[in-house]
Amino acid sequence: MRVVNFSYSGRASWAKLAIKVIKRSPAALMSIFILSLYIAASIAVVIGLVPPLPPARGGWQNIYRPPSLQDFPWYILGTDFTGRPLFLAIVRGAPSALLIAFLSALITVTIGTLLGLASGYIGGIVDTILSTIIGVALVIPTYLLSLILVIILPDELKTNPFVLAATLSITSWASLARAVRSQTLSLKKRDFIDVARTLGFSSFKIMFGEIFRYMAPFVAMSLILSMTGAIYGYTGLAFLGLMPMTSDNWGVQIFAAIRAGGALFSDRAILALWSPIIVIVLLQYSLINIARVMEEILNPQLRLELLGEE
Amino acid sequence: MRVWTWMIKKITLTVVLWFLTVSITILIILATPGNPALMLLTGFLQQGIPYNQAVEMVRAYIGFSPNEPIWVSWLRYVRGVLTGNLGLSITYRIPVSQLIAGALPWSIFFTTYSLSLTVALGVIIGLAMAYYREKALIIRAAMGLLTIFNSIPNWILAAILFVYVGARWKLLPYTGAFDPGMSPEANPLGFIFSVLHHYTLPVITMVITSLPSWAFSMSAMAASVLKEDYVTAAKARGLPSRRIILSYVAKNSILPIYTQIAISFAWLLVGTVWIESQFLLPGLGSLLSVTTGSRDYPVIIGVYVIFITAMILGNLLTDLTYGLIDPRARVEEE
Repeated sequence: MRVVNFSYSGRASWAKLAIKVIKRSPAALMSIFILSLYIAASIAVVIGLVPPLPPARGGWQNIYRPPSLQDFPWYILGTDFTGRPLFLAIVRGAPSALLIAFLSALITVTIGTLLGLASGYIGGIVDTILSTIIGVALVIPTYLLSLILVIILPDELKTNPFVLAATLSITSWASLARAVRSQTLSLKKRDFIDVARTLGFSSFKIMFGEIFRYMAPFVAMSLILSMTGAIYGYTGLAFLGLMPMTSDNWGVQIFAAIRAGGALFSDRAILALWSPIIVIVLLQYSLINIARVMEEILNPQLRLELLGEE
Repeated sequence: MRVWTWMIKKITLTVVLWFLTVSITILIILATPGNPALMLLTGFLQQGIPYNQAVEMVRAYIGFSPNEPIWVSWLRYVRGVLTGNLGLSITYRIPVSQLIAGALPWSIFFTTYSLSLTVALGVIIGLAMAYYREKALIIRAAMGLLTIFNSIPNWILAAILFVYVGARWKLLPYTGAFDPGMSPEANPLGFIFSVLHHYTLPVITMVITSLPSWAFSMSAMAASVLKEDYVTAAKARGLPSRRIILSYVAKNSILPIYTQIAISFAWLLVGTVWIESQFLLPGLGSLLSVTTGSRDYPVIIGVYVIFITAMILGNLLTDLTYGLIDPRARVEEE
């Protein structure tokens, strides 16, 4: 479990604790398993174990074909709106979804933590300016602004994962920044910070060495939750038809199944509608569950109860 | 008197915040590669309109022109917003403000309707979860279900309900805000009933997807209130549990999460972009999603400014009412 790496005291007891929490909730174990499946699929695509998508084949007889054993296992879900194998398209959609979610979460967490730490620790005029920026970003709804930016951005830019990740995290760091700021303010008053200052530690070292250490688990949890937000935005924008109509985008698959697949009248596109839906919801579900387990591990009271069971 | 100075201070700060927010987002939009004015200009030039005339047309539609510095465009646009001029719609050829005036009431109705149901249900479910904890099977089932709801994006739920409950099984109306042929003048009561009937599926979508966050934070709050001494004292005095829950626990756990109403309001408002367009309802959200298809930039940016204004007003309203309900909130700020 990676969670234990974020610990700040006694790695062994943290591992024990993590195992205990997971034992208590089988859903968490399942979530970790599901997430590793997604990661494994992405790695398989990146290192070339998964064949590339065949060229699109139009025509009623090729689109939304029922499952078959041809080229096992890629046609087990039939074909999609371009006549390509649906299962292959979904697997090939994993790396970009995970990459964009992770990059976007990373940007969110980095900006949020840096601004929150600086604002809370330095104080004075810096705090006033940064607090105003955080306050403005808090009221700007991220997905609304990213929706508009995605409309404006030319196609070649919005398919770039870095640009898209930056767009999807444009103001999402604000609530984390506010939380980090208030935690910094309260940590600043603790004795050990005074000691560090008297010992002549630099502000930089105190901020990142001492204060950040205390917040690291909380920040790690925010990283996971930010990923669910980015996946929500990434697939949601595609569902509005704002992304290029490529097969390997889960949101586009759902969009096509409803708009072009006749999901309203027949069950012909039923696999193309439900497969990407289940793929998205399972990913979100496991990320949320993992974040919840982390919260349980970090919650001091629950931790005491669990360790006290011995 | 102190209440008034506090309110005036809040309102002034809100106006400043609004100005900063609108300015910054307009600057971000202008600085994004693919400046909307430039794209409009290219469109007009492709239609064979002479350059000078095309530049004039761009200015008439969107309020600024493509070949001026960003800060001039920003000043022009903000001045336009302040004087109520949001430009002209390219597809509809009428002022953007007129389009928005027609759409806004529908969205306000939809979001407040969903919000009040979400809050009411969230409070009740949260209280029940905190009171019975994991003892009752039904509570554990509800918690599991809420976690699943939490991981379903609202547009996916909208699509599922639209396809199955609406189009396939025909259980509830799934397109439009009211039956065709209904009008508020001819049959006011029938019209209202028709509107409520048509909004059933959209509201269910909104409530189910925004319920988990309310129920979970309410239950966390109520769980900590249940541990307070005054609750133990009330139990010791032999008060009936209904009384304890309603007048002790409910009241004291709603207050700390009251300001979350503004966050939910903003979230629901953004959700209208997906939900309204899925169910073909009138409103700001569907206006935005329709105009994204035709790249009608004046409308897109105008709707965006109205969205932000509504959210900031929602914030102000919750802050003001919260300060009036709970005087501690006013004192803490001073």
